[in-house]
Amino acid sequence: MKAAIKGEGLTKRYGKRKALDNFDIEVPEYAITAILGPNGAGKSTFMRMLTGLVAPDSGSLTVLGERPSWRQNRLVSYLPDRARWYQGQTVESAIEWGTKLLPEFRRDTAWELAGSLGLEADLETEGMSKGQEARLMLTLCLAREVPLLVLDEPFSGIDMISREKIVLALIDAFATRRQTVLICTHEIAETESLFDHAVFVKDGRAALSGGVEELRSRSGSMQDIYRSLYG
Amino acid sequence: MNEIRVGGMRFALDLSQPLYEQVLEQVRSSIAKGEIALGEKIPSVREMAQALKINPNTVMRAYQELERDQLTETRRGQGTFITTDAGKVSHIRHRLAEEAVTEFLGRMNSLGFTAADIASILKAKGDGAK
Amino acid sequence: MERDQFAYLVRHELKLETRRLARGGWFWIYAAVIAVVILAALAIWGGEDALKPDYLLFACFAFPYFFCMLAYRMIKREWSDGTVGWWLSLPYSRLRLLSAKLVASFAQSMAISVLFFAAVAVLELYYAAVNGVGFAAFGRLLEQEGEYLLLLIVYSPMLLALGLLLGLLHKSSLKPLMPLFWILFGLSGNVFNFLGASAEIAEGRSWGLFDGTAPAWAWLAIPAFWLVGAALFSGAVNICKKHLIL
Repeated sequence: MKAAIKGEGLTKRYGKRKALDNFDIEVPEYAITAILGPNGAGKSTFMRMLTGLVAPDSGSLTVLGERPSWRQNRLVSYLPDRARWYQGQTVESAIEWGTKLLPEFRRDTAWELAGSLGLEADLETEGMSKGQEARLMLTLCLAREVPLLVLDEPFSGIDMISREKIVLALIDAFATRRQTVLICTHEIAETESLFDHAVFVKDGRAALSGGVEELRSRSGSMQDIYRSLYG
Repeated sequence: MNEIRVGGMRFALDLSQPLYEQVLEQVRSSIAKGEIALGEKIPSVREMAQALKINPNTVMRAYQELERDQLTETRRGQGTFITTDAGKVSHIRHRLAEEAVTEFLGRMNSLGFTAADIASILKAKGDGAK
Repeated sequence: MERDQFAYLVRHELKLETRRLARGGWFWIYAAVIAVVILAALAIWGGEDALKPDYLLFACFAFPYFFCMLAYRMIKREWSDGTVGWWLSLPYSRLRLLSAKLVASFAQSMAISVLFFAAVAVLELYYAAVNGVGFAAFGRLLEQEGEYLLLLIVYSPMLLALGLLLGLLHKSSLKPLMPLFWILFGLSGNVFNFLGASAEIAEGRSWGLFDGTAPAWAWLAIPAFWLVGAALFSGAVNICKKHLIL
């Protein structure tokens, strides 16, 4: 299997703290890969590196064969962690934003997604619940037909219904196109059935990684592994 | 483990075991039990993945395996259907029966029962059932 | 990057800004009440020389500081509103992204200036009409406003760039440099004072450049502002590229 993302010896320091410490990773093409680990393990730092927001202090990283950069972001649909949507916009103006600014953004797909995620066109950001806001942001990410989808904590802090809807939208999007998906999360319970491949991050290093089905037959569910690694 | 019904078939997935094998086995046993009829259309990969909330790649792998076993056939543009060949289904039933018996015998052997013991237990059970 | 994408980015920034004003309902109520009070006061007590619109124009002295803060807030907003990840992962260069903010903040600054000058002009007209003092002063006022506006146009890009730089410095590993730039802010915002040192503002001739009292080389200040502005802006782009802590 070809790697869509390849990182070797990635290290990033914030002051004395090492967010990533010699982190190695390979993300296979056309699969859903999960980056798992508790808060502060270094997951988001790695995710930010993929879009060039954060540069590694050392190590090498390629995304679809190139170093991350704003140019390469044409090919990457990225949901930032702890992101909020712009105030004063509606679902409609958010989709307009995507249409105008994001390459390969499919307006029709976006409207379909918004509909299936239960978002009305004139719903304003200020009036949205956290779950609705998360659904809107996911709509914008999934409406792009780009080879790589990177979602940083798409499930955190949102209601169960929104979470289920997002999972279904992800399955649907993944079933209909060939895309590499990378999801970073610390909420495994409802999501682990989605993953092909998992990378467990601990203290800035890749503690365990591999195909989820093999991991299951060797060590049980991702939740079991999570408990034994971090418990 | 919740039971999920998809187009007549019943699934109960255990996340601590490989999902691909479970999907494959559970479709097979649905066919063997007749929960889904010969020639019937089965849900698309996407529908199945949505219903089970699992990765479409996993469903796809299971479907490919079913097709290799000639338990299903894909008609272009129409979808995937259960075979109309009753012989294939009875073959599967026999295989499942054989697997069940092998597993049963293995467990009995590990408990220290001989073939003769097992036969008499089965006979007593059968008589009781009558 | 396509031109219409850049134009959209600029519009997007402007919309976020105007939204704030539109939403501040109380602001408009107070503004309306104050306007009515001023107009009434002028009608009742306004006599010969009671209104000195050039005094109102003193408010311009604060504009450069105000504009700098506009640009600063445009950066700060990305962090406080949680949108910085969207902004910086757009597939456009940092130069483009910051240029859009610069252009938007410039447009906003100019709109504020023009509105302000128009309001003062309307007030003067009203005063002249109500009190019958003639319109000679109005012509002088317009001329003076034109000069002020020109100065603001020439001068504000530098302070806008400074505002962007300050906003980014705050979120960067170079944060310790911020006091230096706040000092620059304090000194340079005061353009009307140092360029108009020799001017008699009450005369209706505000500052040296336009009344011929300043030496011709004083005009060199203009390209100098732009050079410094360009340097500040490229500093902002650089910080955005290399020194942000995200």
